[in-house]
Amino acid sequence: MRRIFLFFVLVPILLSLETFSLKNGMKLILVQRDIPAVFMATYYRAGSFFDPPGQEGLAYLSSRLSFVSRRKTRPWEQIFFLKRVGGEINVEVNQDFSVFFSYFPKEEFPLALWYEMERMKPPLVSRERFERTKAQLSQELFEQMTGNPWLAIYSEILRGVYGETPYSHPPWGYPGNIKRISGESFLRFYSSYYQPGMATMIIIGNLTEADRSLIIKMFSPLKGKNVFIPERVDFPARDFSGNISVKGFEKPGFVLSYRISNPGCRERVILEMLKSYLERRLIENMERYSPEEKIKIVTSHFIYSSLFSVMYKGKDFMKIKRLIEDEITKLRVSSIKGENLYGLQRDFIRRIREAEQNPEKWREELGILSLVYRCSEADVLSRTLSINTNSFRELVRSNLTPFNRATLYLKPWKEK
Amino acid sequence: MERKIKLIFIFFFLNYMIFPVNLIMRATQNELVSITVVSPCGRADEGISGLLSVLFLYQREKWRKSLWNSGGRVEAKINEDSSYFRVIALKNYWNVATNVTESLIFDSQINPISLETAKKILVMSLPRPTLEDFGPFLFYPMSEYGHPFPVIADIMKINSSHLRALKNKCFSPSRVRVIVEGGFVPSVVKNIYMKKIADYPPPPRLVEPPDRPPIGVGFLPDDEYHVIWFFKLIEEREILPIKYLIHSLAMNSEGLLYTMFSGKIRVNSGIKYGRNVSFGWIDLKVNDPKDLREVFFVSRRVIYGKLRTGIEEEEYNRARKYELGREKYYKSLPWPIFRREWKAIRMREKKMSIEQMNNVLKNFPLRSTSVLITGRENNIKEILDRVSSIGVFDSLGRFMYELSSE
Repeated sequence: MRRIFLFFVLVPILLSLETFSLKNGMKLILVQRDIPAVFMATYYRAGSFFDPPGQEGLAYLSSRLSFVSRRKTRPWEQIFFLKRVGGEINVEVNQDFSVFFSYFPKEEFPLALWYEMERMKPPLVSRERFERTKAQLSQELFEQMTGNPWLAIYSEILRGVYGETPYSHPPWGYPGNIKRISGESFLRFYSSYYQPGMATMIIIGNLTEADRSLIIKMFSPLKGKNVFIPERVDFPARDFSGNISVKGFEKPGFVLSYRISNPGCRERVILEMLKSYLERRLIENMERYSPEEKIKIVTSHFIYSSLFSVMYKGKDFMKIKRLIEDEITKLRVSSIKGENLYGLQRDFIRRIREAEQNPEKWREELGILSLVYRCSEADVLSRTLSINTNSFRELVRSNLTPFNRATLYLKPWKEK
Repeated sequence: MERKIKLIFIFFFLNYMIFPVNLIMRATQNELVSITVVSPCGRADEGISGLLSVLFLYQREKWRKSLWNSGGRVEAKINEDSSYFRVIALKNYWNVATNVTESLIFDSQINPISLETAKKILVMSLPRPTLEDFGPFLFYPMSEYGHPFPVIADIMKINSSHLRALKNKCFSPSRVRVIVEGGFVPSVVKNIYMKKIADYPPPPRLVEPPDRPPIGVGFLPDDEYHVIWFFKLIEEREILPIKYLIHSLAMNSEGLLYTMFSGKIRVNSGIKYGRNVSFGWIDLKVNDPKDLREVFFVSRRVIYGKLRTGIEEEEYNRARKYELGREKYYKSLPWPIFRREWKAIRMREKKMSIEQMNNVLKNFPLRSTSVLITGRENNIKEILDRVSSIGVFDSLGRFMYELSSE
């Protein structure tokens, strides 16, 4: 029965996806959807992992500087063009990859594609503009760090979970270190990582045969090269606990994080399910606690690792911490109930269906979960259906252990 | 050919007979079903702050198990004078979506346990107000329209009688409009229709916005420095001209204000603008508190001048191109609200020439504009010498006191 269902679900999806790569190493995924706009995302397999020590934030700065002039364009021209026609472009930099995500009306497709192609060429940036951008960026970061306490906590979690590895700093770097980045290291980073050989482009829209040949014609002449990417080692396990006090948190609390290294599609799907399961369990048990306290569960997926964190601030924070750890221990020993698991599976399928309809959500859900190198949408769907209580328990047993854990206690902030 | 026209005519006639105005349907080849209940009730009709949010969360809590088993989801949005509640479910579980929406409209029994949970969930996830949300407080201070963001003390007061009263007032069958969309089965519609949701005319607005002079200049103590201009939209014909005006002023790279303050406002996200049903706004984020005074006075001069002279043809064409692009983007998104809104705007646009637009702008009353400044109190004092008074708000949108130059 399940196979028949899978057949009817998967075949139409596989038919609407087309995947191929060009000679310069660039990968292309074209998705056919009958919509009046075109959504385009360029993923580079490079993020803050490659930041040299002392120059943290290089990837973030490079993503900002990727809109400077080329031989045929003025600085920020691509952004202005997209804005003018009612579209938009966003950049996201992660530990493992960077995304340039844009959308625009279908009529502007050739020009928007041309701008994207120009952006992929090496940048022409003057020393003055480089210094000015650095100064602006570090000032912005400084403001954000002081204004948003979660940023300080997040960078502390990363340090706790990943120890002395390239993952231990936040992708946006530190304000002081951005000032230290040299022009040479920027150019080296850009030419080796932000180039077609490292890129995967996803285009969603009503694409004709002419559009397809245009894409190939435009991107084939670009020069791409194969870059050696070091194998991500499995980081040494450690049980970290520390204290932090930041402005904006007047109540005590904790942040509990688990690191899952080298997760596959199935692990990512299970983690998402685990998140919604724990949220529901906590709400059921909430009557015991006073309502001024806040619980937040966050999962973040990179290519080579994932993070699962629970954040809480309030009076009885130790009780809540024990409750969550109890819940995880229960899952470790006796796993989840079958009926709950089916609910979670349906929930996940609904999310994928929604994302499929809404290209913006596509980026949030599938962009990270499935389309980045590891698994396709069809893969995710089939894996979702094949998850059983045993595989759920396996993940919790092997990954949510004290050795992959970092606990951060939030001390109440006092004005000096 | 004639037969085709006849068939189309009969189809529309039947469609109207079976599905009158308040039931809107759109069948798509989608794996999901969404049922949306729209009501003319918003924050102005609540009475107690957060009551509508509690009602929506209560509804979700009451049906938690079936939603949970079917993988369904609930989403809702609340405005000053309107709100919607939407259930999204997998196509095979469409009956869950109908059950949840039906019970919102027809079931008046309140489950106290679900109510308590809903209250706690709301308190745990109280939304952080953004600066754009301050529009109603500037134009309708101390009134139902400008009533403050939800407070914990208010939410804990809510009991089942409050909820029942709100249901009767806002979600009785005569008050709601239902939109069904997705790959649904005809029996879904039949199910709703049998209970006669749709036998009534479209619901009117419950509370009319008060007509009183706004607070011209408002002030909110904060660590960041912003100057936010608000335009109140009362009549429907004002929406499009104000939208084009905002575009010509604030657009990145080409807007008047953008080029004027290039060194003074933040490079990244220094200028933001937008519009909802009742307000348009331009948000200028200032780098240095010393420039706050200049940004405020210069932007005031520019905006008032632009209202007097109107927009130029080039700006009109540029804004039009932008609007067409946005329309295509919103049409690509799945749910029906955007489509309906864009359709209405397109209809208005077809009728509106640049002369008509400029006419509306020239007659736009200055009392429909207002400004909110954020920063420290010592920065604001420099502005006071040329402004008669400044109203001070707190972070929940409550009007505190008035600063005057004396």
